[in-house]
Amino acid sequence: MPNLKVKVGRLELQNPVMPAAGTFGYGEEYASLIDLNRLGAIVTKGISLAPQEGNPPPRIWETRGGMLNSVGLHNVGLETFAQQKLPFLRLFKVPVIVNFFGYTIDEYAEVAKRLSALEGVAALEANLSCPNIKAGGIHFGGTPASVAEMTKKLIKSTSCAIIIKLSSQVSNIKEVVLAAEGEGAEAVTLINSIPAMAIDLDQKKPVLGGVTGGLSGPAIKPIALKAVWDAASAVKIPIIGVGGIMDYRDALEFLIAGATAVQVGTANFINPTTMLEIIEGIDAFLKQKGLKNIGEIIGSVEL
Amino acid sequence: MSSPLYLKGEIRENKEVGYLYHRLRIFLPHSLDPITPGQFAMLSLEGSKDILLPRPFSIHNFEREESFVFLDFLIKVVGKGTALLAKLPIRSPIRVLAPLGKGFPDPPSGYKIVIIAGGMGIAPLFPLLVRLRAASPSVSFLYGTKSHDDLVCLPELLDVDNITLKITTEDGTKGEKGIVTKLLEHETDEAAEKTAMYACGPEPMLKAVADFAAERKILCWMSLERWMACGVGACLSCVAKTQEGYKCTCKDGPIFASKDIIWRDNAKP
Repeated sequence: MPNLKVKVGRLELQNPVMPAAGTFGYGEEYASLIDLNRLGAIVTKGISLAPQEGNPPPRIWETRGGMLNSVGLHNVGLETFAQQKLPFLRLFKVPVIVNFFGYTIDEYAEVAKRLSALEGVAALEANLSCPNIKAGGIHFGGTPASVAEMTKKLIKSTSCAIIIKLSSQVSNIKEVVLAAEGEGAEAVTLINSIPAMAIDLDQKKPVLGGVTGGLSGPAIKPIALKAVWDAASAVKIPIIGVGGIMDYRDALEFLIAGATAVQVGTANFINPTTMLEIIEGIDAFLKQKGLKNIGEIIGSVEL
Repeated sequence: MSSPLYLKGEIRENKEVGYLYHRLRIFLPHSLDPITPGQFAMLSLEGSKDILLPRPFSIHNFEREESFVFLDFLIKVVGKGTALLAKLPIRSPIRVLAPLGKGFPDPPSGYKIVIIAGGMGIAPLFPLLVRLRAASPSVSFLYGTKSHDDLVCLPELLDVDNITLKITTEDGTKGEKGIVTKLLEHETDEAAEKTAMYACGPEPMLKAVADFAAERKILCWMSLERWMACGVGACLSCVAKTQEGYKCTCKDGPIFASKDIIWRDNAKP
């Protein structure tokens, strides 16, 4: 039996596979369909201080090889999350990573502080890269200086492990991840969905209620893989790779490129058991290659 | 509420029931939780390069046994996904996530029932009719389509005893000429207190039904249709606006009380 355990900062995961924030609700939605205890971690929908109602519908549109969403960080808010969502997640032995966001740096810090005080929160993933809100998200993840400022503030406001989720839409990905590492982030997640749109020909109007949205799914996998590969050459902290992973072969590409763990998003919608199939596929691949430890393939790409 | 299962099924029947209309019968080698009319399933084609996400369809009919289930779906070809489904040969594998969402609630006992189906809105309403017919003193079924050829469920409806069936077509090729909501005016007002209405169809029709019910304070439930991805309330893509904010059509619906829906000007809530 190969060892699939990985360490993401101080978190010890039984395997490197977890859902991408926003594609797995608060975990409970999928609990009757898959055994959550088999995942490497559970990653929640992005949480904000106050509940958010999100963008007007339509919020989704299928494209060739992908999907657009303009959900816009619709969430129940920190209080309801703490009282109604988190207790259920505490029933599982798997670490819970809470994704979160704010509209100002101080608000990010406040949310981080309050979330980290809750029992059962193993780590926080700061979303600095949402393409769907105007004032926050991507605004804070665009430059090395803004990422450094945010990371510094978050590290000061909590002792909980901080993971920074970044976009591929930056001029130099290496400088941005270095900025996060330099200020004490325990890991970075790469990438978020990519700003995109679609137009209805008859109405001559954008298809999405939010006008533009984020592209996810297999169409973005090569972009995400390149971002992870670039980042892996620049930093020592673990990288969580995400973007269009549909099966274990996609997941292995990210691990070989240098990701310590992977997140699965769009694929959950197509087949709710995808993550379990990926875990089994990685296990079988390692066996077939005669490898005893998943660490042997992480970052093993040869040029 | 029933828990869904994700199962590998098989197409057992794919019958053309009119131009662009197909009736699919899917065999699932496993039982499911009890199904209520109004609930739906997500169908996905295995290994399709042309479409990515599963597509939601109302369960049109079902036969639930201890070790297997048959699910029937009424499908109209409107895009890439439905075109591929319509072409599926017998024995094709198909992935099914079901049963999903909340079904239609039963009416209070002794209530007169009025069911209004517009076009493909017939899909979840036919099994509802079968379920409610026996328990209600009076059932009216109003069925409207664009033309005679679109009345795909008419043969089945004609087989149902003890209901009042009224038909409209927009081109007048069958039944009364016009849209189905104009039949509502004939449904008597004096019984409003003891009437329950159920509707599914295009959004402008649903809004007209909702307005009619609101003016007369009639109990009314309707099934909404939305683009969706997960089907289980996780992705928050399929929301409709309600008195309590955006609600997921997949999990909080697809059946909503008409008084809870907030309609936009162009009739899309």
